Amino acid sequence: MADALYAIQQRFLAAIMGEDADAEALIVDDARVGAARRIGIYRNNYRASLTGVLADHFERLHAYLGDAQFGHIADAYVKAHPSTTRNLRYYGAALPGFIAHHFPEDGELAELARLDWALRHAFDALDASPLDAGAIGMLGEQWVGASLALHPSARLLTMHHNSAALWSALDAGEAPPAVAVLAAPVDVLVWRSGLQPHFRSLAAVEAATLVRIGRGASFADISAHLVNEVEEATAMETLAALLARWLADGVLILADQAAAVT
Amino acid sequence: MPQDQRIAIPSPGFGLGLRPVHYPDFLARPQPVEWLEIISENYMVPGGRPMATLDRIRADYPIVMHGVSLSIGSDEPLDRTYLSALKALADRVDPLWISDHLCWTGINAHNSHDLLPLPYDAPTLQCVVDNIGRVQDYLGRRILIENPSSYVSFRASDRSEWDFLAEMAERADCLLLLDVNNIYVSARNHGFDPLDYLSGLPAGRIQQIHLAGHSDMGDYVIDTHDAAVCDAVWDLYARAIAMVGPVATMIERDDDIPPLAALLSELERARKLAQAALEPVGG
Ligand SMILES: [Fe+2]
Repeated sequence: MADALYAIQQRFLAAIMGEDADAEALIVDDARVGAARRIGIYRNNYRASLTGVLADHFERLHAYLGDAQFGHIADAYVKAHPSTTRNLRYYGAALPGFIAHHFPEDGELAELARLDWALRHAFDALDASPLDAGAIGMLGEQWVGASLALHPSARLLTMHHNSAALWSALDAGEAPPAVAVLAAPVDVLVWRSGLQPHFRSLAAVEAATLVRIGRGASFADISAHLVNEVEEATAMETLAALLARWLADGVLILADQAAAVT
Repeated sequence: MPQDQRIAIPSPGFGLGLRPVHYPDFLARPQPVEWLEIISENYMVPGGRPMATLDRIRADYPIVMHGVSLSIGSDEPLDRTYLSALKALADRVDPLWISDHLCWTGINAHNSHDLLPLPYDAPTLQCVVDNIGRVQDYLGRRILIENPSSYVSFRASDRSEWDFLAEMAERADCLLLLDVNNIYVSARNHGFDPLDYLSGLPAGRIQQIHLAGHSDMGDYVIDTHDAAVCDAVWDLYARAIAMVGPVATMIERDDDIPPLAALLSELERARKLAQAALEPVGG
């Protein structure tokens, strides 16, 4: 009896995804092209589409490494991570970890990859109405106690190297500066403002406050926390400046809106 | 082609595949196309620029949805998550119609992201017909199935691709998307006559036509969508229109994408050819 369709498909896919597996026996052979070359077309399509989408998703890492080195890493990743996602948009999520594992001495590579991936996430993350001065005015007395959240596009990344500067130079088409280990780790906020992804480096106090907001803290909570750490007038001045920036950038939403959209 | 009854809706005219590089052209001013085709998966994302742009362009153009991941021929249960995302997109877009390919893209949770060919035999036909029925029930509408390009033939096949498509369309009561370039590519790769293919299809179920370019490797041809439509494909298109009548036609371009004006002039050629092909012989 002929192979069941499922068995044919398993065998054919294995031959496309890996070079060792063989599916030639399933295919009509011919003198002009030959079964092996015919399967090779699919094998090549698979590898090219996945490495192509990695180059697209990790555009600045690609620019930093160049075609040859990036291609080498992308090939190795595709071999180690057969696609299990239905939409190519989501292929490559494990590349930053893969790079961190294989290049522990070059920490900037995984950091560039994380930044590229977070910006890609910010690009098409869920829409949500960010808080602005008008929305806060509408909340009135409820504002200070309302549980907050970060916009669905927002991510916080911790950098140990000058990877943000590398990314910006690559983005501008300039020669990147020399890699440097930072004196202290710096957090970077990645988010989307309107339709445009952005990132910026944060001072420690802003990063810590945004982490609290990400866990649902209210304005009253973050004020109380800051007042514990620094003198009250300074705390209020700092918070007012941070809040003005977050509202202008569209970084905050109300936690109940986050719950409604997830 | 068998002169069967017309099930496909009347042609809405000529269109193009919407690609992000052309967003500014469509947002800036009206363009001479009657409709646009989107790749469904490109808008199966939560939000941001793709969805915002789609909403704006949809306000000005009818849209058809073309998928690449339905995997109608996989011998396993359909992916319900994918189907529900497809339906959500259809609810948002309200497309003229929804299409995907006669192919499989993966099995057992592994995905090739390619349109893989099927063995053309009775068990595969049963699998495909059953799956089309499930999808049509779920979406509440007929879908279009497109003939793929292929580079291999399975030993298990016992009939032609056009015979398979014809029986599939009748049994599943679905519509067809005829890719004229794919017929040309597969005819070269497998050595059949494209006219046998055309005349073997149920004309009344053909609701859309794709035109595209390919890469000629000499011994074989690869469906790359990175070049202009070649003369042999234009000739085949004229034959198809003469046989089927007016059908919604568009150019597919996915790589090395030229300025919109170049695609519009290719589309103009399609309009003229179709018009000439439909003129009564002998005037
Ligand atoms: Fe096509």
